[in-house]
Amino acid sequence: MKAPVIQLKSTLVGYGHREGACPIMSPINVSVKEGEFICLIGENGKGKSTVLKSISGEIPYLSGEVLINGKLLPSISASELAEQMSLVLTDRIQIGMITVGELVAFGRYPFTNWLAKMTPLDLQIVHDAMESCGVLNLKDRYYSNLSDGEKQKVAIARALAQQTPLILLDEPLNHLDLINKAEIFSLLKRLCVDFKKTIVISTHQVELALQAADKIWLINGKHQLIETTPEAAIENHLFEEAFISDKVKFDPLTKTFQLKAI
Amino acid sequence: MFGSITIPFADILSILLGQDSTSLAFETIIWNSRIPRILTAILCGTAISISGLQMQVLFRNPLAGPYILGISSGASLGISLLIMGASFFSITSFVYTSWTLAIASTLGALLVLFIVFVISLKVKDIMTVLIVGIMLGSFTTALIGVMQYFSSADQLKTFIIWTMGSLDAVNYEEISVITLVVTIGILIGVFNIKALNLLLLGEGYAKSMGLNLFKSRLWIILSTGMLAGGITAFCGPIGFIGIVVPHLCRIWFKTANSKVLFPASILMGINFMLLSDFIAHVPNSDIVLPINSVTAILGVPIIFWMVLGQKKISNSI
Repeated sequence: MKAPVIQLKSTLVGYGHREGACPIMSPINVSVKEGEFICLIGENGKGKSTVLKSISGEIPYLSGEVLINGKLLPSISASELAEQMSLVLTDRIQIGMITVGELVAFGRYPFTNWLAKMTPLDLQIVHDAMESCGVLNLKDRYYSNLSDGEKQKVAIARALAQQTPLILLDEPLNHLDLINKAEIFSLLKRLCVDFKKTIVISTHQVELALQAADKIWLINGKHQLIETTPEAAIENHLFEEAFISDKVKFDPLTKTFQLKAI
Repeated sequence: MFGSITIPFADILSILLGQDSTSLAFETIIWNSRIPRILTAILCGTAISISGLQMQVLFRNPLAGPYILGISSGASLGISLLIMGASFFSITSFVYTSWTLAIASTLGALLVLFIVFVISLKVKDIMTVLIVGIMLGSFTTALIGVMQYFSSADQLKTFIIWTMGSLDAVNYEEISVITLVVTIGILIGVFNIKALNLLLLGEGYAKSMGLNLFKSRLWIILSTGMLAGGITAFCGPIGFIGIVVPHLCRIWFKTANSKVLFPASILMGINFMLLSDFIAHVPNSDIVLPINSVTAILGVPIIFWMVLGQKKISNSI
């Protein structure tokens, strides 16, 4: 049997690794299969980024186990990990005078020689990645001159060029308009279906997540990360519990948030 | 091929081809003055430009360069410790060789580079790091000032002449030392071109693509220190070429890709340095200007032009 792409076994995530553990949520137990599209949902400051950073190895987790393709995360070397997992981070890429084509080609760097020489195969992969993300026409434009939506698609194309089975995206829909959000969501979904990519994305777009996600990871008010499906989440009133406010309320019928009173 | 003495072009050719010329003096001037000067300018332009390019990417700072971040001051501190400190232990004759100069200077450069780098890890703000570098430069200069106060007139003169910077006083033995140091520095740099490009994307992405941040940065710092330190040891602190040349290459080639900028900066740096040297030896006159005054007079207006005119300097890396 194939090992899960991601597996967390009573994993404690948080900060303060040296000065004594300071976990920010209850132990996490989740498992992700190949080709699944996971949406990580929770209020600001509830630890979405921390969960993703702990899975990507950017910060060490406090206790328990994180397994990537059945292997313990800390035992995987950086170069090995680069072949299994690619990232789209929240921090903006501050880069001038680099074209979209060059930036997406950076995604091939883990596989190139010491001088980063691109083989015809590499160039083909870069071309295909740009085509899949609909940015091929921007190839010769400077990345810094693009709109936010275009930049995000390019960042995803770069991750795609890395050709990893797993892609983690930390809030890739921030600052985007409705159309761009929908486009990127359907692009990610398509990658899961067509290319069997496994994708974990943190987002505030509950409505979109409910339509596209295979599974929802919901961080609720009790600092628990609950693994569920969109249907079960609605049925069990999980969103009502996770987002407690006197201003807004989740409506299970329309699967949207409604203002309580204006 | 210009200088205080005008040598006919035909003579230059015959001397270079190893044939007889009209005057033996011409031969001496070509082989012992002008050729070493040209070689030094080539080495200097290569080294300072690449150290500037590496620092700009490493610090993600368009205004970084060996001079402005106090690296050259660090090298000066190493040199002044050698020149003025040696007599303190009364071991003058043994200490003052090409090699000790190069080593003292490189160590001084590395020391400052390392301090600035550690601070830049804690403080992310570009301008703060720049100010820290300038302050460190002032601090090292102050230390040098204190040492100058306690040193003899002879030592002081040696040191002051050295700080004015010169490509003239370099002989073949010193050139061979510089060549070795610069070659190693450039080789380390070439092996880190890929890392430079990954660092453009920021730490998070660089790491996610399998780059060992710590190791790569250490190599780049070592290379930068050797290049800036090695040159400063023999030519004095040479300012502004390190900042200006990589930017001119970015504007010229319209890219921030290190694979292009690395060789381009070497070529542009060599030309810039040869031009500065040409201007320093005001043709057909006896005047020899300090080389770092010339590079500053050429470089600073270009920086102004880039900051004010291009307006995109902060966005170009």
